[in-house]
Amino acid sequence: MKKTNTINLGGIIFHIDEDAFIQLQNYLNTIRDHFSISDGQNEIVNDIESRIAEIMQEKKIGIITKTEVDDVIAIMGKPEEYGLDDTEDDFNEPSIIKNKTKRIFRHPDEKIIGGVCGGLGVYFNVDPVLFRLGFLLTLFLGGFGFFVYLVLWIAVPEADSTTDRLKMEGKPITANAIGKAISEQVEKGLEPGHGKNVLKTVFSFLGVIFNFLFDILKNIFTILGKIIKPLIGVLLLGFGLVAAIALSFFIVITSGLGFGSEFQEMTYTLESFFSHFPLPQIFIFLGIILFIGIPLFQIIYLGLRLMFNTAKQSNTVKGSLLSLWIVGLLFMIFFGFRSAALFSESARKEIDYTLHQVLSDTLNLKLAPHDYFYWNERDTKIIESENGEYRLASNIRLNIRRSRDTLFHLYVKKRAHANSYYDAKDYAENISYNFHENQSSLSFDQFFKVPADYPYQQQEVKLTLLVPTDKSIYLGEQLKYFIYDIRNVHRMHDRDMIGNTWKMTRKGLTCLSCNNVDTSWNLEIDVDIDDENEQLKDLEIKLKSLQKSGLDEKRQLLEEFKINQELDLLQKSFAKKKSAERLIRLETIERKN
Amino acid sequence: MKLENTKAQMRKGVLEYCILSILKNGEAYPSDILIKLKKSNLIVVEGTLYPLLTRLKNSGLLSYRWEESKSGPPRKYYSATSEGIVFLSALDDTWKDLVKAVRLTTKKK
Repeated sequence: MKKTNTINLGGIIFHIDEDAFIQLQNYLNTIRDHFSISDGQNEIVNDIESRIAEIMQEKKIGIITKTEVDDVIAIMGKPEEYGLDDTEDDFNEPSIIKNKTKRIFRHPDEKIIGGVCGGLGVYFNVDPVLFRLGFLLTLFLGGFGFFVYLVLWIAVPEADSTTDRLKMEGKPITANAIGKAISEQVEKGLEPGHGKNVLKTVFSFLGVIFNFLFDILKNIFTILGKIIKPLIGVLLLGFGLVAAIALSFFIVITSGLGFGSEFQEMTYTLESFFSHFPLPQIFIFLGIILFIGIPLFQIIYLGLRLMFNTAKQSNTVKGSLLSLWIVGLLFMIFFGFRSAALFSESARKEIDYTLHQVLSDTLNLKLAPHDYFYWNERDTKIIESENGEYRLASNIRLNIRRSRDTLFHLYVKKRAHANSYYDAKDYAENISYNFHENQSSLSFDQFFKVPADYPYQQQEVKLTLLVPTDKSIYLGEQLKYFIYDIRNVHRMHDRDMIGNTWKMTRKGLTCLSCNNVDTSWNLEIDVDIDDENEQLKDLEIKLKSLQKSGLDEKRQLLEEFKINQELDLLQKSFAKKKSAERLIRLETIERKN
Repeated sequence: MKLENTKAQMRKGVLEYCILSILKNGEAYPSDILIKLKKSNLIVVEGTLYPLLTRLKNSGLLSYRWEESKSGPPRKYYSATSEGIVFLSALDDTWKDLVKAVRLTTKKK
């Protein structure tokens, strides 16, 4: 039994079998798709329809079947057989073949939720039910499949045009194929439901629920998005602008355009850096601007976009910004390596002064009067001397310890950094530092001197005053930022120690002029592990640099011997001090309990 | 390069010339034209004719009138316009030249 349709061909009524009808319709569609409207598409199809009607009438049959349609198609021929196409069409073949590669689409016919599984099925040539079961299973395994499905649903387009469908199935996009695809769709529509009915119903039910939930979620997100987007935009914009202002401020300062006195140390460090740098200064600022400025620009841009929904940047703009940023990044990497190398090695020069002139039991400590008096400012100052011969730096710290003998001593440790040990040593040795002693007082210069043609290489001076037992010192007000981390039995901070008289007892520095202070700290075993540590490091550096020193072998070995001897002694005393420190710590804990 | 393509290209220009020639002496409806063209093996499938007729008509070389038919759908009777006649005479000259040229170049010595 076959279904029969009635059609009107060129104004004449025909009866036609269902399958013959589909075939004929398909054929006419193919012709229609082959010609454009400017070719006179409708007229051509109408003329051909008339001709087909004529042929059918000549056959004098009651019902048109597939056989007749086949005959007519053979007589009329397919559009490709007309030989009317332009020659270029022959060369278009490869582009059609290119389109043959499959693309993933969501399948509109195999759709239960979003058609993702249907699309996957077509793409991988597998029954979509397998994918559906897979997604269902992973749904129970931590919901992983849910997110994958969501992502695919959003990312994969639906094949809603016939062309998309052909791409989905990996078929070439030709008029013929399009026509065939359309008729296949018609066919499918006419005979619905082929197997898998139970599964389909279950999935459809799940699908309806899922669709509902998804719609709700989508609405919530859209509403939230509308509120939150401008807020985030404002935040991003604010952050970006503040950071951009800070960046320009930084560049103005460091490029030496102004504000010098507040940022001297940075300025001099940069100056030293630039004096070693092979490229003009401008390149470094360019690097900084590109490296930090471009991300800031993007943040501001994103902020504006979120606030006002302005247009997206084109890929060209994005690409060029990215490449500029990479240029900036390379500058910064270069800059970083160079500056690290400039200060990679350090060297120290140490001098022990015995203060024979001091007779008084109490030594008055103060700063020597100087033209530049900055004692109430914490920052390191670097200034030019009046005659321009020297550079003066206030990078000095004073510590106080117990003397091993009955005399006052002052240790002056000069240190500098450079890219080699010998350079660093040269810098350290060219630091000159002065102090002044008399019977009852010791006054420190606030600055050490470095020849003006020497760059700033983090030169510093560390002073250690050794006070004999039972002798006292008075810490003058001016030493407020000069002293650093002085151990005392009261565990008092530096700033509180100022203006007081301190006696060195067997327990450690004890305040004589303070009221109501905790005197329970016992510093009998005076430990300065930091010091030992520093010396150890210095010796190791010395040993390492010996090989590069260019001395002859005999002298090198001799030096090595001496250094190793020193190292031995130091390591022993270091070990001793470490155990002492542990003892103190243990005592501290016991006392607390 | 396909033989079919070359054949089709050769035929394409000639077909327009032949259709105009058929219609020079009076009007005809597509089925008449088809009979003549098929007899001379100029066309293989009938579908070829309709786009050609439409094209010639659209460029003003042909015109048609409708005539009812007792046995089938109404028929379009095509005839050449005066423009078509001028066009045809130009094609006549070109054809003669072509035939001469082809004979000269393909002649065996």
